[in-house]
Amino acid sequence: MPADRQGARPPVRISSAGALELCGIALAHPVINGSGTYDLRAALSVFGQALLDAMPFAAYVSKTITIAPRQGNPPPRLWESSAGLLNSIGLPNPGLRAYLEEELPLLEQLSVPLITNVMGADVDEIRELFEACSEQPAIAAVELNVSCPNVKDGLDIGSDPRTLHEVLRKTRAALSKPLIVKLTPNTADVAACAAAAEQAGADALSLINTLRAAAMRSDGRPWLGARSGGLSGPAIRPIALAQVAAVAERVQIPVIGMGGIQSARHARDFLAAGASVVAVGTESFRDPFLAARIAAELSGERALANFARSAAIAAPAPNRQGARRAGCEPARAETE
Amino acid sequence: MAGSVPSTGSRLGQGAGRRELVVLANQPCGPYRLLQVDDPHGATPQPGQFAMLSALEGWGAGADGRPYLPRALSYARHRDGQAHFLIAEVGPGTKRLCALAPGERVGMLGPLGRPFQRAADAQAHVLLVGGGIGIAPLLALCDLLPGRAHALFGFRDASCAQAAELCERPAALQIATDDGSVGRRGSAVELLVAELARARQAAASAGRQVVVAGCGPPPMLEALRRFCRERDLACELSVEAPMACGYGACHGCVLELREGSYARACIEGPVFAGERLGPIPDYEA
Repeated sequence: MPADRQGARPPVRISSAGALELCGIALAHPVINGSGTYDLRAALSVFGQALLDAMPFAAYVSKTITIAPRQGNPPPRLWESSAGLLNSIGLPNPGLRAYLEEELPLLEQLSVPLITNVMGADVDEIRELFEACSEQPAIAAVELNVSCPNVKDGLDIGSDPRTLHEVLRKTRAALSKPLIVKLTPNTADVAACAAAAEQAGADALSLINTLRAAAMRSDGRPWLGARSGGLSGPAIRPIALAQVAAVAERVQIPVIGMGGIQSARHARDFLAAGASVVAVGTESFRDPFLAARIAAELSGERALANFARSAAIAAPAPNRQGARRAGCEPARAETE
Repeated sequence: MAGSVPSTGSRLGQGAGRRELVVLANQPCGPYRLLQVDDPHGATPQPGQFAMLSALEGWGAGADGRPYLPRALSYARHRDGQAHFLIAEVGPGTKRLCALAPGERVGMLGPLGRPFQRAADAQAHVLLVGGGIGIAPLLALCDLLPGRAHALFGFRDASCAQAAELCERPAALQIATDDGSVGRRGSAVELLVAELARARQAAASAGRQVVVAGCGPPPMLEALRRFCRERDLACELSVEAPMACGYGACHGCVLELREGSYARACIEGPVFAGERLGPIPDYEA
């Protein structure tokens, strides 16, 4: 990525206290969760207070909320693939009303900002979701899942730059909060979709969502109840890195990078590829507190990087470079 | 803190998250293995609960890059700070777990899930109906009810039936094998069919109610579910489902309930009241 473009990137600012900021939302560290990978109510019922004391994520991203309740796909919904997981969960959720009335009061109590992920099948639905979220002080930002087939041609809204641009252009004004667009990787040109989203008013982008995938039973029938699903986990990390880099190079708004992150090293790779924030998803299934450990490791580096930055008044260039590569600060922050 | 793993305040005992534990023993038991893990600070599981288990080394080292996810295993026993698991090698994950040597380390998250409840009640006349490796959670239940539970176990053959020796202090133990090499020829459900009238009589004279606790391969469990339904027999069944997280986070392990909704096997189960369940699917069939 050309140095001048990185230098121009304004997204994540470092406050005087050394905290991160994403679209105006303060983050204690750069690790959040991928939508739909951490049912908080369930996790709280198992881990109790320990989870609240050690919330692994700097912001909590909800599962995808739709206007009508969804039961999800028929089982089986999971298939373990080579270094990865295929799922066809099918976005089960209680619907917008029940989410706002029953789940929001719980999520409000979190010590971290809440990002609500929503999905609508058309402009009207998305507008309704945006308007409802705008009225909720507890929601810091909205993430729009655009991996939803549109009614007209069955293609995902997010897979075509023009469709995505049109949908966002018609709905963006209905949301009074920062808008994150969760891009789909199942498209010919993810960077073009990213640019379209940016142009139409997205404040940040997150990627990658799962890659469309299938598995067969020994008798040749599809394994998953929904026939096909999405692939996640370490198997997709190299693809995710390439897509994050392509998007980060194309847009000025911040990028939340995810896809098979299992360690601080992997998180650093995404930050190096141009992400400002990273998300842990499938790996939380293996270890529910892994994200906390990644964050701790990155924060340790960030503390060092902050130290390096103040020291850089005396010794500029090499240390600055080091601080940027350590993870959380874009070049812009160092010059502020 | 954005740092270390929490140490208190969880139902899972010290170390709310995944614990790194040491393997004490891993002995053959017929074609199965009995894996014993040192777990001095973990919460004591209730019979029917399970843990997510993976080897810390050599996990994902298989020819096709598997296993990746941890494996869900019912506690067969928890005693003196040691967790016991009965494991059959059925895929790359269980293959690695079966090969664990003493001194190797495992990652373990547990105890998880809903345990046996009706069968653990003091007023229950308990029949343990288990098939093959499915006897594991029933062993734990039998430990809770010394001298009180009647075990009806079915196995493929005499070699598998050696696992029945792990059952300590049952009120009685009957065995069936598919090939008739030990005990009655047939399945554990057929043992139940033969035993039910006597059990009901004994329960009635003691002022108790017969409760079936079942676990086993899907076809056997489905036969058990239907039999209990036809005979209006209270039963609790421990089910299996492809699982990723074990703590309700991913919604992957659902099965369809009789009234049509989906329930997660990991937090609403793995033990379900039999009458709540729809037909038990056999994905491998």
